[in-house]
Amino acid sequence: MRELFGIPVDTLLVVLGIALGIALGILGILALRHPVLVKLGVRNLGRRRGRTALIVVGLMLGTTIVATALTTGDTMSHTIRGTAVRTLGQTDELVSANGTELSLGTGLGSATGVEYFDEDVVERIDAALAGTDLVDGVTPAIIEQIAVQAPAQRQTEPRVTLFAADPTRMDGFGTIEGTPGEVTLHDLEGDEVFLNAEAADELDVGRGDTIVILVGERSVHATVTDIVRYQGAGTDGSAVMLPLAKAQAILGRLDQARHVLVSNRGDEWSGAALTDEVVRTLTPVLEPLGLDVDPSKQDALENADVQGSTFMAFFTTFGSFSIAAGILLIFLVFVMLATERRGELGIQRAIGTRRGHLVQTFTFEGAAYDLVAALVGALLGAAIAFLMVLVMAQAFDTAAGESLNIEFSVTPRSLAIAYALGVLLTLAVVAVSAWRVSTMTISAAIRNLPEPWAPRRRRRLALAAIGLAFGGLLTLSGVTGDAATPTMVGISLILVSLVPVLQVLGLSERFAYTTCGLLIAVLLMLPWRLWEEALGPLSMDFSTWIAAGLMIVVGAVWVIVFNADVLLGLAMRVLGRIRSLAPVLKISMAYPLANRFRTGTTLAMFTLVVFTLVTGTVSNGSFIAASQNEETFGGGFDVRASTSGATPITDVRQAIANSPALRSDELTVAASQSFLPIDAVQTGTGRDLEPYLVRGLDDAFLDHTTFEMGKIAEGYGSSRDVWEAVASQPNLAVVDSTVVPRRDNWNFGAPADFRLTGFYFDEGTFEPIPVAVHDRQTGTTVQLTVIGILSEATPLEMAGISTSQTSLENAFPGRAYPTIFYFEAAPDVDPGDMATRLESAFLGNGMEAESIQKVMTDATAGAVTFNRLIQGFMGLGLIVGVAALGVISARSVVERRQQIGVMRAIGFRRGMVEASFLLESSFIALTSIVVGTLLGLLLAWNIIADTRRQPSWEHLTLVVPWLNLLVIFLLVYAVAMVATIAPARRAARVRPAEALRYE
Amino acid sequence: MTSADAHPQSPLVEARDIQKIYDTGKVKVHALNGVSLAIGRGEMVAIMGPSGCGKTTLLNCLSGLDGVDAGDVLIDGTSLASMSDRERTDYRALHMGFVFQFYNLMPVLSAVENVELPLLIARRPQRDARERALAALELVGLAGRAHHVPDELSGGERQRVTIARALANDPAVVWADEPTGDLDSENAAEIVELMRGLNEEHGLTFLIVTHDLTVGEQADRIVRMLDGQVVEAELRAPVTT
Repeated sequence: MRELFGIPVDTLLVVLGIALGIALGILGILALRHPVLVKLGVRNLGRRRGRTALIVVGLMLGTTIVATALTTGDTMSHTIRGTAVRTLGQTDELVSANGTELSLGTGLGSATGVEYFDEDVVERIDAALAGTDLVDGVTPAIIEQIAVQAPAQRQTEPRVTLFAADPTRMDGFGTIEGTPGEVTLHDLEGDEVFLNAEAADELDVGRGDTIVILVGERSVHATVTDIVRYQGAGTDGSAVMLPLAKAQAILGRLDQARHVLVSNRGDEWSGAALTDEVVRTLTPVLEPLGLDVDPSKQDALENADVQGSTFMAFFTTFGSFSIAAGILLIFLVFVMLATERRGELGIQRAIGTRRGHLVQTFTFEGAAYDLVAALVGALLGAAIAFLMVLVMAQAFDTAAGESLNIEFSVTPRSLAIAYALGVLLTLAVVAVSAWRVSTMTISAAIRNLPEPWAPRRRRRLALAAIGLAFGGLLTLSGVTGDAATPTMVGISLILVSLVPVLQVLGLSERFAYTTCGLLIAVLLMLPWRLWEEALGPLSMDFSTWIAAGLMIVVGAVWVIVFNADVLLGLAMRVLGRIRSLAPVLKISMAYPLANRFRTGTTLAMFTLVVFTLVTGTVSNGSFIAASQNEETFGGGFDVRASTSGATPITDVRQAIANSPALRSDELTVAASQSFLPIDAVQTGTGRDLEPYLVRGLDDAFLDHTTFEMGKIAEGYGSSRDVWEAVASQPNLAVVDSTVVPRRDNWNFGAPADFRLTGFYFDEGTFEPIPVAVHDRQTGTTVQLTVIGILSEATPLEMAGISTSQTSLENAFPGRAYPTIFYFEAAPDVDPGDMATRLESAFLGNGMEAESIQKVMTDATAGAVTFNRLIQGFMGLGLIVGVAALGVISARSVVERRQQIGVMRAIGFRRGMVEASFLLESSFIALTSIVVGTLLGLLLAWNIIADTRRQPSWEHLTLVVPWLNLLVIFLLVYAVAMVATIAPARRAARVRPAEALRYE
Repeated sequence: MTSADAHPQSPLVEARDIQKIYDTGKVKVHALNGVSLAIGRGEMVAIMGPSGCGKTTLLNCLSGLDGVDAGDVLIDGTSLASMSDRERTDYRALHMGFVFQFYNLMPVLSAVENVELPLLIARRPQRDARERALAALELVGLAGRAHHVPDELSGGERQRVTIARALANDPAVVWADEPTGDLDSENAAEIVELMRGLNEEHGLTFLIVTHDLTVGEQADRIVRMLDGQVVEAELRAPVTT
C-alpha cells in the first residue's frame, strides 16, 4: 500500500511512531515525577469494571475503523500479489516481441501481430547475463491461449493457458508437484501432457484421460500423465503444460518461442528487487532484435500495492464519519467521567492539588484506557476486515463470474499505524477534556452545584475573531483556488464563530445557535449549481462530502437541540393525551432538554451515522439503477465475445456464414474490434510516450453502436456524428473517459499514465485533440485526432483509443486482427443461447462469449454486494451510537438514583421508570433517524442533480431504496434500544428506600 | 412488644410488631425490632430519636417504600404485605405524599411540573393536573415561582414545592423525612408552620421523622425511638403560633 490520507504510508508510520514516542515519553516523565497522580488516575480502572469495559469499547472504535480500512487494503494488496506470484512463479521478467503484451491477464483484449521469435535469442540473453549473478534461470517459452476438450467427459474449455518451456532450463523456475512428488517436463513422452489442478477440475479429467488441444483449425490428442501444481504457468487459472518442442510442433512454430522467461536470483517475492538491473543489462541486447524486456513481476507487485491503496482510501473515506463519531464519543465519555468525579476533583483542588495535576491525573487514566483500547481496536479491526473480505470475495465472484482467491493478510505496519493513530487521537481528546474538567469552581464542585456562569466575554470574542479570520482566509483560498472544500469549511467556520459574537451583542443563545446552525445546514445543502453560479467553478472530491457532511450535521444538531422544547412540547401535546404515557413522557423529555451537551453530542453521533448511511445508500443505489441500462451498457449489441490473440477471426461475418452450427440470419449485426498495445502521447505537450492501447473498430461496429459520448469535440453535433466521422474519415478516434481530467474527483483508482490535458471532462468544450500513437513492434507512429470522449457509463471493455479498423490497418499493416466481437441477435434469438453456440462454433479460436444482459447483471450484482459491504462498514458507526447511549444511560442511572427513588416513591411503577429511559433513547434515535434521513436524502438529491448536469449522466434519477432504508431505520432504533435496555432495567430495579438514602 | 398505640379510634396507619433486618453479608443489623404503632386520621405524629435508631426505616416500612421482614403494616385496614410492588406503587401514587430532607425534586422539571407529576401518574388530564398543581403551589405560597426550576429556588422554596407535590393528590397521609433538616431556623419554622396549618385546616395526616425539637413541639404526638424500638409515646398539645 502506498498512501493513507494522502501521506505515504511509510512516512506516516515514522511520523506517528515519533509522535507516539514523544507523547508516551512526556507521559512517562510526568509519571516519574508524580507517581501518586498515576496511582490516583489508574486506580479508577478497577472501580467499576463494567463501565471500564464500556469506555474501552467506546475508545477503540476509531482505531477499529482505521485498522479495518488498512487491513482490507493489506488483504487486497496481498491477494493481487498472490495472483501475480501464482501466475508468474519464479519468473521476474518476460522477454516478448515489442508491442504484444499489455500485461498478463488484463482481460481488456488480446493482441495480434508478430509474436514469435527465434528461440536462440535465449543464448544472447545468457551471454549478456553471464557473470552478473543477477539471475538463476532463463528459458525460452510459449504461453498461449488454447481451447481444450475432454471428449470422454464431454467437457470443453475455450480458454486454457498452454505453458511450454525448455525442460533443460527449468532450474530456477520452481518445482512442478505431481501426484508421486516432484515431476519435470522431461518426464513427458510422446503425446503426454500435465494438467494443473484447476484445468483438471474444470475439464473433470484425471491421470490417463485423453484431451484434445484445439488451435485454430488444428486439433491434437494428448494424454494427461499427471495432475500437477505449479506456480508460474502464466495463469492462476487452468493450464496445460508440456515441453517447448512439443508445443512448437502443435502450434507450427518450430524453433520459435513467444517469450523468454527470466528468473532473478532470490525467491518468487524477492527476485523483483533485481529487476531494474536485469532490464538495464538486457535492453541493449534485445532492443535491436525488436524484443522488449517486461518487468512483469515488479509491475504486478506495484499494481497490487496500488489496488490495495485504492481499497484502503475507499474504506478510510467511507469510515471518516464513523471515526468522527468515535472522536465525539471519546470526548463525551471523558466529559461524563469528569462530571461524575466533579466532587472528588473539587476536594482534591481544595486540599491543594494544582489544576495541572488534575489534568495529569485524568490524562493518566485516559492513557491507561487508551493503550488497552487501541490495542483491542486494532485487533478487532483486523477481524472485521477478515469478515469484510469474505463478503468482498463474494462480490468479486459475482461481478467477475469467476472465483477470486482472497488471501487475508494483515501487516504489522498497518496495525502499528492504526494503533498509533488511535492512541494519539484519543490522548489528544482526553487532554482537551481533562483541561475542560480542570476549569472548575471549587466550592460549586464540592457541593455538586452547577458551575456558576462566567461571562468570559473577552476570551470568547478573541476566539470568535480568530475563527472569523481563519474562516475568511480559508474561504478566500477556496474561492481563488476553485476548491469547494476550503470554501465550504471556511464559510461554516465563519458562521460557527458568529455564535459568540451574536451572544455578546445581547441576542439569546437560542437565537444565535439556531440562526448560525440553520445557515450552515441550508447553505451547504444548496444545489451546487447555485454555489458555482455565485463563486465560479469549484472542484469537489470526497473531502468535500466529508467536510460538508460533518458541518451540515453540526448545524442541524444545533437547530434541534436549541429548539427541542418546541418539538417535545408538540409531542407532549399530542402523546400526552394518553394519560398513562403523560408522566413518563414528561420525565423522558425533560432530561434530554436539560442536558444539551450530552443530547447534542449523542444526537450528532447517531445523525452522522444515519446521514452517511442514507446518503451512501441512496446515491449509490441511484448510480447502480442507472447502470442497469442495457442500451447504454451494451452499445446496441446483445452478445460480446473474444478470441485468443493466436487465433483471431479476420472476417467474422464470413466465418459465421461458413459455420454449420450458425445461420447468418440469426445475427442481424456481427461487428469486430482489433486490439493493440501501443505507446501514446498528446501531441504538443512535450510529455513522454506512455503505454496505452488502441482499438480498431470495423464498419459494422461504427455503423451500429449506440455507445454514447460523454463529451464531443467542437464541430460535431452528436454521438452518432462522431461515430460516423470515425467511420468515414481516416485517423479520427474516441477515447474512454478515464484518461481525461475532471474538475470534480470522485474516483479512488490511480489514473492511467497516458492522459489528455487542457480541458475538463465535466466542464466546457474541447477542440479535437491530436494524439501520437506509436507501435513498438513496427516502430511506426501515427497521428490520431480525438473527437469524442466516451460516456462514463460505457463499460470498461471499451477502454482505450478507438479508431476505425481501416485507419489502424493503414497505420500498422498486418498488426491488428479482430479478436473482440459484438453481435446483435435477431429478435427471436435468445442472446444467452447464442453466446453458448458462438463459443461452440469458434472453439478452435478459443472464443468466450456472454450475453450483454449477463455481463450487466453480473456487474450489477457485484456492485450491489459491494454497496452493501460499504453500508455495513459505515454502519460500524452504529457501535459508536450503542456505546454512547450505553455510557449515557448507565451514567444516568447512577446520577439519577435518588430521583428514581423519588419517582418510585410518588408512584412511578417499575415499568414506567424503564419506559422513561427507553423513551429518552427513542427521542435521540428517532430524531437522528428523521433528521439524518432528511439531510441524507437532500444531499443525495444534490449529488444526483449535480451529476445529472455532467456528461454521461443526463438520465440519472434519484432512486430511494425505501426497503433498504427501512432496514437501516429499524437497525438504528433497535441498536438504541439494545444499548438502553440494560441500564433501564437496572433503573427500574432501584429500590426506592435505598435510593432515597443515596447521595 | 413495645407498644406506642395511643390512638383510640380506628387507625389510618397501623404497624404490628414489625421487624426490619439489614443483612450486609457479614453482619445483620436489626433496624426495627418489633415496632407497633398506630396513627389516626388527621393526626400529626413526630418520630424522634438519635441517629441510627431506625426512624427513617420505620417511615419507609410504613409508607411501603421498603418491605418488612416480620410483622405487618396496615393502611386503612389493608395489609401492605399482601400488596404486590405494583399495587403498593399505585397506592402511594393515589393516597400518599412525601416530603424529604433534601427536597428531592426533579431538577429538570419546573416547580409546577414537579407538583403535577403525581397527578399525571394518577392519570388526571393534563389541564386538570396543571390547575391543581398551580393551586397547590398557591397553597404553599409559591404561585409566583411556578415556572422556576429547583436550581433557581431557595431551600425553603424548594421544600414548599415538595410539600405542594405531596399535597397535590389529596393524600390520606404525608410522610416527611427530616423536612427541616437542610433549612435554616427561619425557613424551618415556616415549613413546620405550613405543615401544621395543612394538618389543622385540611385534616391532613402527617408522620414526620425529625431531629428538630421545634417540629416535635408542633406535633400532636411524639414517638421516641431507640435501637429500633419505640421507647416512648408522648401525647402533646400542639403549640399554635
